[in-house]
This record gives sequence, structure tokens and C-alpha cells, in this order.
Amino acid sequence: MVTTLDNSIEKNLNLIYSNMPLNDNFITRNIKLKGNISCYILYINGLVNQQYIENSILYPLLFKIDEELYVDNTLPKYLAEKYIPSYNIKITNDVISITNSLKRGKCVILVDNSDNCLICNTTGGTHRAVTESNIERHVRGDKESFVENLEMNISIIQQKLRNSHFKMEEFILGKESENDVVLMYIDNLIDTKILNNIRNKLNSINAKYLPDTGYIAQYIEGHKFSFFPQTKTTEKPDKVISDMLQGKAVIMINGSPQVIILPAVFIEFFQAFEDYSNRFFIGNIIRILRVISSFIVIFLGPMYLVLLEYNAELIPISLIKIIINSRLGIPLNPFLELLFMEFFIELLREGGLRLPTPIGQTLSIIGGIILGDAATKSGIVSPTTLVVVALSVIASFLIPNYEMSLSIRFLRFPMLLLSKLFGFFGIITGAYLLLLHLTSIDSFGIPYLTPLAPLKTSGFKDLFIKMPINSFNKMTNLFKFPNNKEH
Amino acid sequence: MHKTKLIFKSLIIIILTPFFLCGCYDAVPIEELSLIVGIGDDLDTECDYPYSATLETLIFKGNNKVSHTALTGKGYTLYTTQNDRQTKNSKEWLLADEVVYLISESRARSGIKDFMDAILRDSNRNENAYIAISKQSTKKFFTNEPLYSTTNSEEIASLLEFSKEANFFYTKPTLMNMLLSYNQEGRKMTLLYIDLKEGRPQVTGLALFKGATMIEKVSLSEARLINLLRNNNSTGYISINTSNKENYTDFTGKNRVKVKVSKQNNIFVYDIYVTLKGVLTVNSICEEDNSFCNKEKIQSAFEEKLEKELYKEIQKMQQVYKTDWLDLGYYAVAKYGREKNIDSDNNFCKSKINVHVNVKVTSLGRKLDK
Amino acid sequence: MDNKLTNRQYIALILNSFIGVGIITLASDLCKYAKQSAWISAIIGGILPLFVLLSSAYISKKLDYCEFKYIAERVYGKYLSKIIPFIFIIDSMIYIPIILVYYTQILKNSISQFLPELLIILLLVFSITCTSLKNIKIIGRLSEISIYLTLSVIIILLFFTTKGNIKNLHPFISSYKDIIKAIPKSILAYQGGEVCFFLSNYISNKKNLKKDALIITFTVIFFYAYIVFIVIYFLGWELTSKTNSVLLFIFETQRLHIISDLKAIFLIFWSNAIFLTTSIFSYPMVYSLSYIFKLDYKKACLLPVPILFLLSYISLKNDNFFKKVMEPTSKIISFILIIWIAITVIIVFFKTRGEKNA
Repeated sequence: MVTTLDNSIEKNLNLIYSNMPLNDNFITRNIKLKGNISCYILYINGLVNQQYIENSILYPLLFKIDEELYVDNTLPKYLAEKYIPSYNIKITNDVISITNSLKRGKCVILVDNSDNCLICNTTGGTHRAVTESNIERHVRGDKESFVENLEMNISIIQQKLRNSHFKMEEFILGKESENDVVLMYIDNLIDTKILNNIRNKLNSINAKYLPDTGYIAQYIEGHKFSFFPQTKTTEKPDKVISDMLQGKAVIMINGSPQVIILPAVFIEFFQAFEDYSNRFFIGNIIRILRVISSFIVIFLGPMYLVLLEYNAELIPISLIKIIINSRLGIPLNPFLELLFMEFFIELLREGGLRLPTPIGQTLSIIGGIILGDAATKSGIVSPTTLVVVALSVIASFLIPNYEMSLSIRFLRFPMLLLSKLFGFFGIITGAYLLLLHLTSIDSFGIPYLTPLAPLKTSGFKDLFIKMPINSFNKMTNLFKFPNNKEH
Repeated sequence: MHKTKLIFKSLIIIILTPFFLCGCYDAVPIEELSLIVGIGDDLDTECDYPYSATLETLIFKGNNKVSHTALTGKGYTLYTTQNDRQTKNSKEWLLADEVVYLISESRARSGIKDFMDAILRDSNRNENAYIAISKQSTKKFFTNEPLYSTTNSEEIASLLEFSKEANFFYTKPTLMNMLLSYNQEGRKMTLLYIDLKEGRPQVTGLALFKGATMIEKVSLSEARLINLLRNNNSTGYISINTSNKENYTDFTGKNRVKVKVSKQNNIFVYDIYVTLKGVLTVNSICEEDNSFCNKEKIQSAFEEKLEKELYKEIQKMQQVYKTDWLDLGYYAVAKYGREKNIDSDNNFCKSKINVHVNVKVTSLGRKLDK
Repeated sequence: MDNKLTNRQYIALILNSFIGVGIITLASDLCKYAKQSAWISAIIGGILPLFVLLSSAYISKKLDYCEFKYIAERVYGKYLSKIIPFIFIIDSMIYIPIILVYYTQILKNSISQFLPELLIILLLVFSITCTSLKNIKIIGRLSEISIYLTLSVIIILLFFTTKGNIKNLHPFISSYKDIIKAIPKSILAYQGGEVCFFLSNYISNKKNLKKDALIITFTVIFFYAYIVFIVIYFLGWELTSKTNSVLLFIFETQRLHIISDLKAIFLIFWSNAIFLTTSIFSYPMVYSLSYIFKLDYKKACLLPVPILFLLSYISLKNDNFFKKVMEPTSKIISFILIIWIAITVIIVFFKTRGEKNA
């Protein structure tokens, strides 16, 4: 296949037409320069900034050329240097880059009798303004979040990060959709093995359509069948920058405001950004609260079931009186009752997620209160079960990252099953297998439970409690492979 | 693909199993359990089945009403009484949360070695339950009407738990303490003794055991002195009286005991140091006899009185009872070697015991004496 | 990725393989003979791990930290080196069911009284297989975390410092004969250090093997002696020698508020250690199987599963088989292993001395 331009403008046009969708908004503007030199300007209407093409490209070419032009291969370069005030001009003869640029809103200037052309950056089009994110709310920190346009996202980051080793690599992934993907990192901080690993995996993606970074994450993650996410998704630029400065890589895709940060280890999903801006004691107490709440989510329901059905001798007598009083007359056995309540709350949660905001909130609150109250009064479920399930649901709200909170919420169900089948021993086995799974997976080469397993005490400054800010502002080298000199 | 299909199929089978196995392994959910709160053991020599045991349980009637009932069973041994008792019961038993054990005096006097074996062997029993010896049969205690708790057992347990607030009783009269004092070399069991007076249980003394058989029951005044020499960190009230009914001195305090052992010509010499620390609550002698307003005078007066009473008690123990109920053998064995029969009662009767009482009045109270 | 263990992981692995079911019944076994000085016998029995670990450090240093099969080949020649791993296979195959049987009995007597033994053994063997299918590096990471949970028993036992009486332990040394009578039992409790021979080539920092050996030995000795000490301090030796699972007994007597006693908490922490002990023990077995029969490592993991399951189940149901066949065999095999270690040390000493001179 011919991939370079030819001297004849007709042939060039045909080459380009054969690689582009020939819709009505693909405009070919034919102008004549001084000396009857035919010149074609190609662009896709809707992706370009109309004013800009008229003022900066058509106007000077039509009206400002005063001298005689030599018609040869260097004409486009001459035009670019003297007449076209566009701020970004590329000279090329590669058909593939021409068609790629046309699809991204740039305009192409073809001149007769020359085998290279000009590509001017005239990207326009409309996109969403930079506003506060709806799903990631912070009390403290900046309120900007990413938008769907890739260049705007990159500009948001570069406004805040002025490091001289900041690097971006571009990929085009997706056979049919041809999305732009950008891999960003800081050159002297990231480990080269991890970087090569990521690069190889990105290059080997063989997909048709990639609308969102979540698809990319599924393709490149090492452990696809694990419950736990190995990449972090975020919409906030300050998270991205602080993670890049720790030696991580960021992948952005055109068309989605969520970016993914990799590699990500287990403990990061429990750290919120404002912990670092808060005072020493306050931030620590909240962090400890989060760790306790994840234990509550996974183990409270199964422990309650075990204590009720199999091991009633472990409950002190005053609590037994309360539980038996609340359970008299309940038709279901404890397992089905717990399952019913949890299923019902998951329904409420997922339902409230998709409805428009006013209805969604009302549904969740009213549904929860009224149905919970009605179920207790009618005698289908007992009040103590309701308390237990509600406590574990509220505890799951404390986990800052959405994907990790989903994983932990759904870990309850296998644990409940194990506790029903095997009692207390089932919980012990379940906890052991969970621990085994967590230690055996790794996120792009970094073990998932760093810094707990391979114990690196320098990472402990940020693990359960965080030390005052000056002691870990020195860059930690957590995300590098260990040299043989360590330990 | 084949592997994932296999995994999914096996997962579905595993997930659906609990729905068909409601209440698996014959495990009964909690509302169908009968919770035992108190256990009593009796002996009735005239009956065909000598041993009888009474269990008190909770009953839940709905609408947050909780009440109690007591069921008795008779049999030849400790656990075969259950054969009889289960015929009257409508639920499954749960034996892990009982709060009180009662043993009637007739049973205790005929020996409770089987009971000691049961406590150690059956791991379901609650070692933190309180235990006492009762004068009447335990059935009477458990079929009473409780005044301020839902069950009789909880009332009796509170009675035993707070007996330590006076009379220098031991702070934790539990099964664990009973086990330890039965098994450790040189120690003997002493348990609280309760009685039904005007329909309400009351602590009336101390039951003293030798091995697993009850030998003596001592009254409260004698029990007070024995406790003063045995127990550490217990509370009590003592006084100095005069011929005038209104003039006396009251002292409330906690005691500490230290025992030192030495040997002189094959006879053991025990030095018991008793320290009492507390406050004066009444001191009306002071208005008549000014010398009694002095702290040192009061302290030495108490010391004299206590030493006299304690020596009398020790003499009684060495000559009348001829048994070491002060656990002094424990200290001798610790110093001179175990399993050499050093702690025998013979040695105790021959030994010389010195008591040194030290009373410290920390505060004379709010009133100023002249 | 490279399969290396850090020093801390090595220490945690070997510590986990020592601490097994023994601590529950250790105090009662020793008190029967040594009465109140049982903790001294527990300390003296620590000679065994010192011997095993230091010999392993010595052998590895002289033979340049190579893998176990090369050690066997260089020391014993080609034919004997095929027989030596058999000792390890039989050792693990007998010792793992013993641990499983004791653990099942403890569970059935305390928390899971209703659960059929078959299911407990099934779950245990399943978890062990899952663990042994993974790399040794992952087992190292896991033991690093769980050793802290296990050693936290020390802190739980501090509960009892105010509740006992030091006179229970007096006189400290009353008769030397009694202490010496209890030493064989105490040495048996320190079984489990043989795994170190298979692990010494995985360590990344090889200079500190001797220091690691000393750290491990002193930690284990302190742990066992501390437990025996506190048990006698609280209960007195007579009661200790009469109860068969002493540690659970003393935990039962302490009540907390929500979960009514310490026993449940202790079982959660310590079950982790049991899972790991058995998985670490299966490592020599799988390694030797894959070496002798030239199998792939993952297939060799699945091979002993039915044998372990059958042995555990039969020992549970048939007490005679357990007491008359399994336990004596395990004692004999440990004895053979100690002799093997001594012989290997002597042969290595002479061989390398000859090599140095030549």
C-alpha cells in the first residue's frame, strides 16, 4: 500500500480519500494561490475551529501572498515559514499521519506538484468545561477534575507539574475506534522494568473498541480473575501528580475523564488525599477508622451468623437475652434472613445510583427507612439483624476508592457462605485464603501487600498511621524493584 | 474455556447447597435453646435415686418478657440425672453461660470428688461461675421468687459476688478458685455457706473442706478471722467496744497478708504479717477518753485486740480442728520442696505460728478531735 | 521474577515451622515429669534447634549455598542421594497428619463441636494444597505477616501476670533428676527445623545465616519457656499436669465483654500458624518428590494429597493406629534425621578440609 504522497495532487487526493470516511462534513476547499497554483485545504467540519481556518489559513493564503512562488517540493515549507500564522505546523508526506490528524481536527494543506503537505493544528470542537467531579468529592484540595478532551487534560497536569523529566508517550489503540492513548511518567523516578512491562502490555492490546480506561485496565492487568483492582482510577489531577512523583505511570485516553494510575498496591486504596493536608492526629484517627471499617464490612455479618447458629455459648448472657427477644417468631432461619437483608440493601444501592439525583436520594432514604421499619414490624426480619447489616453497609462507605469498596462489599457473600457451611472454622479458613490471595498477587511486579509483606519499614511511615509530613516528603523508593544490596 | 466451565459448575453447586441445608449438622438456632443459668446438686439418701440436680433456665415469652423456671432430675450419677430432666424439657440445653453453682450440705459432706472431676473434664462448663454450699436443698433456692432480677441464679450470683465487701471474704469465689485450691499442694478448699432466712438467701459462714469432703462449717465471726489470715486485698469492718454501748471505734479497711517460713529443730515457724489499711468511721470513745484521739493509740489498740483474737483462733485450729485451713502448708512447700509431705496436718499442729498485726489508719475522717 | 527470600522472611518461615500444635499441650507434658521446674526443661530442650540450624548454616556455607539436590549429590554421591530425600518425604508425610489430627481434635472440643471431622480435614488439606502450589517467595511473605499474629500470644498472656502467684514456681530447682527426665519430651516439641536445608539457597543475603540461626533459636526458646512459665505461674504444676489442652483452659477462664472468652481470639490467631506450619512442611516433601521422580513441581504438589487425607482420616477414627503406628514412627524418623545431620556435618568437614589442602 502506498503510504507517501506523490507529486500529482490528484493522486494525493485519491490516496487520502481512500483512507477517510467520505461523509458530508469532510470538506475539501479548493483555492488558487498567486500564479494559479492549485491548493487544497482538507478538514472535517465540526472538529475544527471554523474562525481559525478562515482567519489564519484561508485569509493569508488568499489575500496576503504578493510574490511569485516557485512550484517545487519546498513550496509548502516556504508557505509555512512566511505566510501561515498557525501556531503549530508539521510538514509530512506520510499518508497515515495525515489521515490521523484529519480525524483529530487538524487541517491539511496540499499544494500542487509537491510531495509533502502541511498539517496545521486547528483543533476546535466543543467539550465540557472543567468543573468539580460528581463522584469524587474532597473536603480539601482543588476542585478541578479531568474532562473528555485529551489535550485539555494534559494541559491541566502540566499547569501543576513543572518537572523537567516529565515524559509522555502516545499510542493509538483500538482497531476500529482508533483512540488516542497517552502514557505519562517522570523519567528519573520510575523503575525501568515496570515501564517496559507496561509498554509491552500496551503494545500488545488487540481490541476493537476502547471507550474507557477501564477496558485498558482489564487488558493489561496481570491477574484478571482476582477480586481486587490492581490499578487506581481517578478524576483528580492532584492525585495523579502526587502519584507520578512517587514513581508511577498514568494512562489517559481520549474521550474519558477517568485516568488510571499503575502500579497500585492494596494500602493505597485506603488513603484519601486530604489525609496529607490535615493535621497529624486527625488524619491518623480517620485512617485507623477506615481500616477498622473494612474489617467490619467483611467479618461482622458472618460472625453474627456463626454466633447465632452454631456457637451460642460464646455470647455473654445479657446479649443473648436481647438477641432471643428480638428473634422470637421470625420465620426465616438466620442465614436466609441475613441474605435477604443484604440483597435488599444492594438493590437499593444500585437502584439509587442510576436515577436522576433528586429521585435517587429520596428513593434510597425513604426506601431504606420505610421498608426496614415495615420489615421489622411485620416480623419478617429481626431488629438485631437489621442493625448488623446496616452497620456493615455504613462501614463500606468509608472506603475512599469506588472499585475497592465494590470488591470489599462483594467479598462478604463468599464469607457468609463459608460461615454457613463450616461455622467458625469457615471464617478462619476464609480469612486465611483471603490473606493468601492478597500476598500472591502483584501489581505489575510490585507485590500487592507492600509494605507489609516484603517488610519495608520505610513504607510504614504511611501505612496505618502517617508520620508528620517532613518525615516522608523525602521520596520513598517503594515502587522500585529491590536491589541485591538491600536488607 | 473448559476449565472455566468446570469452575462455574462446581461453584454453582457449592453456592446452592446451604439453601437446602437449613440448620445443617443438627445445629439448632439460638431461639430454640434453653439457657441454663444456675445448677444445684442435692443428695437424698432415702430416695431410690440419690443424686438429684436442679437446673434453672430462662423462658422467653415474647414482647420482651423474660421469666425463669427450675427443672429437677433424679439419677444415680451426676450426668444421668439428665435422663430424667430432659423428659420435662421442651428444648435443647446450652451449658456455657451459667452463673452460679449450689451444692447442698448433705451432698458436700458425703464428698464431691465426682463434681471436681466433672469441672475439669467437661470443657463446656463456665469456670467463672460462683459457687457456694447451701444449707437446705438447692431445689428450694431455685424455686424461690427473685426480688430484683429475672432469675434466682442471678440474685444468688450477685450475693456471692459482693460478699467480698465485708467480712474479708475472698474476692472471687468462683469455680476456678475452687479448682486451684483443691489441686495445689498445701491448700484446702473453703467455700461460702448460704442459708434461706425468711425466704431470702443469705451468707452465714464458711464451709471448710478436707480433700473433697466438707468437714466443718464455721460461723461468720470465726470466718472473719480465718479470712483475715488467708485472703489478700479483701475488705472488712472491725471495732473496739467499751462497756458503754455508745462509745466505740469503727474501722473499715483492706488487709494484706505475707507469710514467712523458717525451720527450727524440725519444727516449722510461720510468721504471718497482717497489714490493715483503712479509715476510721466512728470514734466516740474520743470524747470520753482523750488518749483515744491519738492515731497511734488507736492503731495499737486495734493491733492488740486483733492479735489476741487471732491467736485464739489459731490455737483452736491447731488443737480442736487439727487441720491446716490457713494454707500455711502452701508456703512451706514453696520453700522446702514439693511432694515430701511437708504440708501434712501433723506438721501444722506441731508448728509454731506467730501473728504480727499492723494497723494503719490513713485518715481520721472529717471530724476534728480535740 | 526472582525467587529470593529476604532475611526476615527466612526467619519468619523457620519460626512458623517450629511453632505448631505443640504449644497447647507442652506445659502439661513437661509438668508431669519436671513439676514446677518444667520451664527449665523447656529451655534446655532448645539444644535441638540450635544444632539443626547451625549445622545447616555450616553446610550451606561450605558447599556454597547450592540447592538441596546438589548438597545431597556432592556429599553422598549419585546413588545414595536418591535415597536421602525419602527420609524427608516420610517425615513430612507422617508429621503433617499428626498436626492435622491434633488440630482437629482441639477444634472439635472447643469451637466446632458439630462439624464432622471429614469436612475439617477436607478444608485443611485443600488450603495446604493451595498454599503449596505457590512459590516459596509467597509463602515467605505470608509467614512474615502471620508470625506477628502468632507471637502476639505473648502479649495476650500478659493478661495473667496479675492473676497468679509466684509461689507456684518455688522452689525453682528442687531435683535435677526430674528436670532431666522431662528433657526428651521437650526435645520432641522442637521438631520442625529440617526445612532450613531446603531453603538456604533462596536467601538473598547469605552472610547472616549464623546470626539468623541464633535469632530463631532464642525466639523459639523464649516463646516456649514463657508459655510454660506463665501456665505454671497461674495454675500450679498439679493442675497443669492433669489437663490435656492447658493453654486453651487458661484462656477459657478469662472473659471479655463481647466474645465471651479469649479462646476464640486465640484460635483465630493461632490457626493461621497451623495452616502455615503444614504448608511449610509440605515443601520438602514436594521438592523431594519432584527430584526423585522427575515430576513437574505443580504436579508433585497434587500427588501426596490423597495420602495425607487418608492418613489423617484413619488416624482420627482409629485411635490405636494413631498412638501405636504414627507417633512412634515420627519419633524414630526425627531421631534418624538428627543422625543424618550429624553424619552430613562430619562428611562435609572432612571433604572441604581435604579440598582446601589439595
